[in-house]
Amino acid sequence: MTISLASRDATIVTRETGLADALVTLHKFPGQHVSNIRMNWFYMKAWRWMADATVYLILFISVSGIYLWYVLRAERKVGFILLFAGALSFFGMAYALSH
Amino acid sequence: MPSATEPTGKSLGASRFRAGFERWNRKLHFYAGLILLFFMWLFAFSGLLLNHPTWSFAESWSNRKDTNYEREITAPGPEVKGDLGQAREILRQLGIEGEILWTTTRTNANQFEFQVRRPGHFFFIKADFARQRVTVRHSVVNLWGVIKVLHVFTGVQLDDPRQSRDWALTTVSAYSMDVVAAGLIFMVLSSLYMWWVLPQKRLLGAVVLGLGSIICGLFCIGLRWLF
Repeated sequence: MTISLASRDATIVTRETGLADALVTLHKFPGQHVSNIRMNWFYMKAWRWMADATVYLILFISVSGIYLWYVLRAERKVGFILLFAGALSFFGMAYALSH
Repeated sequence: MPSATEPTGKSLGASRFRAGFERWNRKLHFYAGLILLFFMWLFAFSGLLLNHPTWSFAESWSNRKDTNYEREITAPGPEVKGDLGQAREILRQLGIEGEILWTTTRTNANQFEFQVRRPGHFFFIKADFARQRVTVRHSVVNLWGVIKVLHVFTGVQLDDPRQSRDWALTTVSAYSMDVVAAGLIFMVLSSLYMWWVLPQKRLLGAVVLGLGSIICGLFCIGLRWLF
């Protein structure tokens, strides 16, 4: 959008970028830069709330999933092995990347 | 001769298969969740931080520690091909490892600027081949910064074709994201199946699923038509 205050006119160029780009935009916003001016449209704010709600829900269902696994005695041993393997690969990778 | 109510060999086999499928579906759901737990928590938690860049407690860039230094280098010879080859040669001489990023277009063959990034570390490198010197600004960010970069560390940018993965660990990081995404898709599908085999939960589940789909569809597709 280009606005000329002197001549009191505006030029608007509309570009359709498709569904894939919509998903990328929704996934990336607000991003780390110029965050103070981003998410200024109500629907983008609502999307931010939805994203937050999704994270809190994921944290809740992962904790409840851990409980549901832990009460199954038969699955405890193999579960601990997998949990340990996952932790080892996660912390190993994070260490290798950041040191 | 089997009676009409007695299960035939075929239906017995089908019900056994179904029972086995249900058992393994549940088992694999647990297993996938447990092995991916820390990755899932990382992406969830870092997603929350990235969604709220104004949270001051998680500020990383303004709390960075910068170190500036200058080193003598041997200018890469003609056998070193291209910008990537030259950047790798400089990094080898400096003992720096990480993902190379291109930020400026090169106008002078003797001047070479690029960045190297890995979670927690940012290197801003300016090489002067004529003087055989290189100046480096090394910025180190705190744990919050590491967490945020781990979320986005893929080595590629959709809107910049110059950026490509050039560090082996970036590829490992990017593929681990793929594995986590595939694992989450599997977990969603396996839980859909576990919900579906509970007839008493079908209606409520369908209402919740429908509501979620409508809300998601509104943002991904609907807003384009509404506004």
